[in-house]
Amino acid sequence: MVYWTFKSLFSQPMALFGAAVGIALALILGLFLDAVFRGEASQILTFVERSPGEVWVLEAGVENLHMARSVVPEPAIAATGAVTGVKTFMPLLYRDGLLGPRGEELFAYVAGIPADPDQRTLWQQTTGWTAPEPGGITLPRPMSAGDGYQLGDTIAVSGADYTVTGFSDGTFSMANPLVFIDEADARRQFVLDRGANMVLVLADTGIDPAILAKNIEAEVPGVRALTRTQLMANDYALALDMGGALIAMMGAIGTGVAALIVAFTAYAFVSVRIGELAVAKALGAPQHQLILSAMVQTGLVALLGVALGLGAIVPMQAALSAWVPEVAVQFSFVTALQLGAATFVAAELAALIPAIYVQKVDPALVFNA
Amino acid sequence: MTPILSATNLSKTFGSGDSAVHAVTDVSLQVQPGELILIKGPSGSGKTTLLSILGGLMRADTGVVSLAGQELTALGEGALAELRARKIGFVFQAYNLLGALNVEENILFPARLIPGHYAKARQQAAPLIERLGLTHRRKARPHQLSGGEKQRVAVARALINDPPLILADEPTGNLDSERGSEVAMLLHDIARKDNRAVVIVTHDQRIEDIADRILWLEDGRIRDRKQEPHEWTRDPVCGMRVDRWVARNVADYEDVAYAFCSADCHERFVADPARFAPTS
Repeated sequence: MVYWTFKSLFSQPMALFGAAVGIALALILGLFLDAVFRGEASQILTFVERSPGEVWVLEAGVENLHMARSVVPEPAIAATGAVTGVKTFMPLLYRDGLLGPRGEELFAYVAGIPADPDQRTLWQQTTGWTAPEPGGITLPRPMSAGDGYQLGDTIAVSGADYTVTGFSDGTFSMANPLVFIDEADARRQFVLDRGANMVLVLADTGIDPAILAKNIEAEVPGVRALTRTQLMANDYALALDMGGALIAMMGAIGTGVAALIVAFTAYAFVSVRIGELAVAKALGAPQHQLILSAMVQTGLVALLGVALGLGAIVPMQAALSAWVPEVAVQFSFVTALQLGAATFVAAELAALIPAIYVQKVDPALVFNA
Repeated sequence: MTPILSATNLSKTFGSGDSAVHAVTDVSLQVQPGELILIKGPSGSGKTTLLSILGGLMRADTGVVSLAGQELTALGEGALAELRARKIGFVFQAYNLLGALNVEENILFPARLIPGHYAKARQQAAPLIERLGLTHRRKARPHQLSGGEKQRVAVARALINDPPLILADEPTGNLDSERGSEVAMLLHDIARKDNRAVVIVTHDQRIEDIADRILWLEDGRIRDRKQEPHEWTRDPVCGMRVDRWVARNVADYEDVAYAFCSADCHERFVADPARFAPTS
């Protein structure tokens, strides 16, 4: 039976490949939905992750960057800089705005990069993103590929025009892209003469950012100090809260559809072999061997499908980035393994139906032409 | 002589109430080793159902089937499968060869179902393949074979485990006249030379000649057609019992009328009558 099981499986390579591709596509569908969510979340967090702030000082009560209209007053900024253990501190303007021509605006976050040469240099070295000159703007790179913006083009931020002087990577999400302008432009745009929306702090060597954050909160009244890790966790949780239900629903539908595809593919794959399984039964093959044969065949098809699906991730990520750059996708190997295992189980469960059917095989199936 | 196959009071009904179909009703039969029996009857008369029950693929509602002294009706599914592998050879109208396997692998497939039997079966396969004229086709896949070749492979597959009973469902149904006769003679030889019981369900009039008995199944009930008026004689070539009333292959030699079981025996006799005619 084992011999026949394998020979039968590989005797029709096109059928085998077709079934494996069906399973691979189902797996990719599940992975894609997860990757879109991960990509979006990753874009939201990239700004915090890369910026030169081990400790982020915000207005008291603010826990994430979504509350972007909060303000840290100038005395608090100065007091933060005076806390022992602070190596450098960078006041940053950061607010929501509308990006693009009237009628086609995109909700965006706008960051004003300090004009101080040392801080500009630190910013560029740390983030890798261009700190724009007055009148200039750094756009997320997908807006170049997707919307056709080039260096030197003009784009409006809440009605004021800026010239595109650079592009940044990792700052575009469908929900809220992030752009950078000069501090002075931002002050004029935000109508904020003094203070800042946040202060980014780097700790002295050997100073634990968590302890420094506590010290800042203790010494500077009216501020909330969060380590980078805390702020990223808060922003990620917020992203989940905002899109969680939708993403969960999409994920459930996607996973359901994928499971159906896998189940149907496995069922069809075994069903076309029902006739031969029935012949084997008539000739004396015991039930357990017939079921095992169907399960082994389906298992191998599922494994091949999972391998194809996993193998397609890397080229798919590259292709998607080139094809739809405005959609951030980030495949997860761990999720891929989890979904792969789930796919395998779904395929095996689906194969049980025709395999069990073989137990009750109609003799007419073998006796009639 | 002890029958190899014995069925007593078999009944099988499909459905219930007004829509009930009595496929087999109170059928009893016995088959001796070396005997070739035809089961005939109109479409839907229950022939295939009876064959399925005799082959242990379907359970009767009532009645008992015994094969080589073993009661099929008392066996569980596992034991029944093992009995099918060891003691029954099946030949199907549609051949039912396994598409992924070549001729030799198809023939040996039932041998793989009996633990420890494969090595012995491999040794038996070569002469069997040669006997059935398939030596040059042993590596061919089923789709590369003619209908006659496929049926010969199916017959070889039925014989590989040396079963005492062969059940054949319309074995000549998909074959032309020449190939049909070839397969019929093959089944005849299996009964005669190998001393196996052969039960054939068929509509084919051509193979009536080779049968020891013809059972007529109609409305689920069976009767022995050759119990009707007959005059028994012996085929001088193969020694088979032949009914002069229905024999179509006959010949006269030295003022004696001879009846033959088949055209093949008839031809062999005509080619050399002195060799086969009994000396006075």
